[in-house]
Amino acid sequence: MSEPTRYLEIELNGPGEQAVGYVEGYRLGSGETSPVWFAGREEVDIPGFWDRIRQKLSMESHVIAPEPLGRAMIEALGRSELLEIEVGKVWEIDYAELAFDFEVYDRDTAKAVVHVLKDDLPEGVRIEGYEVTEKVDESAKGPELYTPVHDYVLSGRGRYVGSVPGILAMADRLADQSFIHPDKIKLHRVE
Amino acid sequence: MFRSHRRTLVLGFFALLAVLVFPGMAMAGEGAAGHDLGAALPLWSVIPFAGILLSIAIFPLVAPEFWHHHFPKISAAWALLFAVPFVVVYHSEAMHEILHIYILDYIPFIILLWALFTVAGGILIRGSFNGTPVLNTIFLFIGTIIASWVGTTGAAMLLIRPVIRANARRAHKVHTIVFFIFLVANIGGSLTPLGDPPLFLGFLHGVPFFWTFNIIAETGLVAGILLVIYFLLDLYWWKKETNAAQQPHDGPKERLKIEGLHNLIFLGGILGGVLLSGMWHPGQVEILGVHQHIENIVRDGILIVMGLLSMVTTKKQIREDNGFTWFPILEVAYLFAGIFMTIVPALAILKAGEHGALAGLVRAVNDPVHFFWATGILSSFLDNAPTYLTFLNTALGRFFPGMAEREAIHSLIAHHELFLKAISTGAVYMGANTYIGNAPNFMVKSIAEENGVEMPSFFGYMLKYSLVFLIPTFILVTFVFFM
Repeated sequence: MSEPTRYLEIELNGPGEQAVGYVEGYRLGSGETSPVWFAGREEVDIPGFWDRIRQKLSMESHVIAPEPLGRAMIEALGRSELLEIEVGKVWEIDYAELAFDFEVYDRDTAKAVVHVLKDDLPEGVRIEGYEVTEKVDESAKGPELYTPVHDYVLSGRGRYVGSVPGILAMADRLADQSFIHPDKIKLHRVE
Repeated sequence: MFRSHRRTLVLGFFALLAVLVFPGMAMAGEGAAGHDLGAALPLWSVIPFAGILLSIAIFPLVAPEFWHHHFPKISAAWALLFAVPFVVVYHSEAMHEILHIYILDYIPFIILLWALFTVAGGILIRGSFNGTPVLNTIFLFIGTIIASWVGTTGAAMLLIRPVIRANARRAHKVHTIVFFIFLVANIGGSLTPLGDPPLFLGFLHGVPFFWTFNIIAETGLVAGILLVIYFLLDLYWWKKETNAAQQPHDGPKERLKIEGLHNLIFLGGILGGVLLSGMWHPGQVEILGVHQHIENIVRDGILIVMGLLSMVTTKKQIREDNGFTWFPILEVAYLFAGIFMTIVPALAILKAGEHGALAGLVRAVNDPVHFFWATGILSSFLDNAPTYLTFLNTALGRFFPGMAEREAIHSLIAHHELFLKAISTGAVYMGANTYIGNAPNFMVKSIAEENGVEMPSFFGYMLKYSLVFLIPTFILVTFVFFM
């Protein structure tokens, strides 16, 4: 059984566009097919207020990459004389987490939402703390003008925990779903 | 045991209230003996009116379930909070005022809404449609036109499900429901007193039935702009849909079919009854000391008959498929019982103009543009029917204080028509600004959510849609018509 791939979070200080250009250029030039993600483009939460501001201002980028590719990019960047970006901190990622909540108002949509949330989870992803509350209020059946209450409400919350690519795939799956509200992805770094 | 304690507490509360407010109101009462009630009533007597309007605005957002189960009690509490001290102090004069507003306004108002709701709820549109930009725009256009004839609630109820069905396969459909609220549930209702409750209240108070056609240019501009924007917006989102979503319905096809069409006859009967009451004047009768015009009693009778005929002749299945229940009418009946009770001091004070406790408000709104925006902004957050009456009375108090109401309204139309246009358009159009601005808005939102459309939050609706599409349109209307 092969070891699961480890992932790195690499802080690149400098113009964001150069960071994207460098990472994409390295991948294309080296023929590397492993996926690489940018935290700012993938709704990944960056701890630290100033880091978030710098990322918004495109002064700092957080790249998430498989460890071998990440190390190779760091090493290659050290040899560059033209680029204005430099490697800041590097963290090894232990696991990723994605919390969500949802609220739906009819049984058919509820079934579809639960299917999206619970069935066919990406490899290496499990669901934790999944709680569901179902409320049925027969007195609220039919339309209301001034006192709107749904006669059926299924609400719930939970979180996915697992590998970086698995959690990112899950985030992609939830991104376009109505009634499901995912949080930002949290990366748990190795202490 | 518990019930008995609760009743004692309630009675004790009102007794205490009468004792607490009696001195102040009694002093006002002495001053009012034989004089204008509006000039004597203190400003704080409108607190229950503000309270019930704020309850309608805030409870659905902060405590919807509590509100759903207890709104009749809350409405009654606000009504009694005003009525008990009012009757204690002003005795027969207070009783007369209360009976006056219930007999002349509340009962006809409820009868009209009930009749329109019953008849519109008996018509059902079936069919499998493909929600293309052209079809959606046609739906909204038709809804805008018929809203003035079946009421905004009736038009919304009739068309919202076909619109949702037509767009079921589309990923981008929230904007369609929002523009449906703008046009069908609000702006479309501006051309007749049947269209929107504020205009019917205006009709009951003496605005001629066909006067509302005088705002056809304003409505045409607003509806035209919004329909064009909607079409372009929908075209943009249509191009982003998947091929599968753009394909015609692949299930068993159902042709367009309108069931319960005979209800149009009853709709004609309602229109005829309302028109009759505006043209035929056989005299008055006295009911519990209140003078009521015979034509209004005949009108209400015709409306009741039309509603009953619709109930008897319409298949049960049609109403079931429309999701029809009586609950919306019960909501209106309970809440407006409270609104009409508590609005008594507000209307009286405003009618007193410079002599009333709201003289500051009367002085502050001077021009049509002020009336358009003041009526509109308040109608965005409070129910637009009482808001319309409030500003109509502000205008009457400003120009014709002390004049009999019908005479004053005719004078307002003759000499200051732009003010009435500003009040009417402000009340009807700007009910679309928020979910709480007009009754059908919440109904449409709720039906959409129960059919798998995730609607924006209260603030999301305002920030993403009202502020972007409606407010600039209303600013344009201001410059074109009210400056």
